[in-house]
Amino acid sequence: MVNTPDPLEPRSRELFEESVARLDARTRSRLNQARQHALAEMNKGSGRRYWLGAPIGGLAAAVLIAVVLLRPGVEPKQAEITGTLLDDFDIVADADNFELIQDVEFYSWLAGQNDGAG
Amino acid sequence: MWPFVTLRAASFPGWALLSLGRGDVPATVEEQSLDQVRTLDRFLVSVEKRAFRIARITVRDDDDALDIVQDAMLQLARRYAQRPAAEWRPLFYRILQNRIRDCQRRRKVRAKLMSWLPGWKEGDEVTDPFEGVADARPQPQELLATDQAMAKLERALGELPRRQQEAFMLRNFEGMDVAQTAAAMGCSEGSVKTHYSRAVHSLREQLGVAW
Repeated sequence: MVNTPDPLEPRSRELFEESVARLDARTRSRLNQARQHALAEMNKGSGRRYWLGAPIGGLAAAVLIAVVLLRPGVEPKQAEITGTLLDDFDIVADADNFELIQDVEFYSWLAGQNDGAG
Repeated sequence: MWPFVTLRAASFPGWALLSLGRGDVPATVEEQSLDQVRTLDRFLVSVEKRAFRIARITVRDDDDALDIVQDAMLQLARRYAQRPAAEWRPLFYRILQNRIRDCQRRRKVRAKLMSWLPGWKEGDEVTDPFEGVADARPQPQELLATDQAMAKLERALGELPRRQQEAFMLRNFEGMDVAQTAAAMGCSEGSVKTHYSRAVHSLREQLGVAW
């Protein structure tokens, strides 16, 4: 472990900052374009994701809830089931996993498996 | 109480899919989104140039470095813009390091594939014909000395093991503290300190006392 700072550390930082300040115009321009593109994707992508995925996700969530809670012959323990469902949805309904949410059939099957095991 | 899903709830992030009748969503969502875009814009402005230099030092190619930074920005904006702004820096540099690694792996695979081509010789890569040509522009002596010092530093950094490189550049160049660096590198704080300490030691050995 370095106890006393080596002069190399501030010197290298100084050189680095200078190299950043002296970036050429072409590179700055391309970085600016990249940033604008990322910000545009943020709006477009999230909007598209919510538009396409969220209603489908909402439908899938409704189907799954219905499948689990409307199982014939089973008395739902409301608080327990709601808590478990919320935990599961926290994972499944994550913005990055909308493609999973769309697999309604899979979750219906999964609910059936849990029912059989329980 | 039966949980229910409303159409309005369905148009929001995943966690809001399940609405438990807690009332309508805020009316200023558009304002919040615009605010978030502005905040992310400010953050990206603050890191883009340094991120480019860090990537450039590692991959030694302007275009690859630009692609890496653009990719990292895109991934942050798409996947992590909803995270608290305080998490963006380590997240961004985590993504950046992953992209740098991907680039290096692709180069290795490409080099291997190229080596199978008949007539290919190791080291026989397409190079920029102007790479070795000296810059003909007149340069002040002090700038020249600075350029040379930076070039020497970059060469020395390039010789470091990857983890030491990461720790040194994130701590020293980006100014991240140990905890943030650990988050960006996906390792413990103790490991960060070890990698950093070894990096400084190795660089001093390579650069010499006079540097």
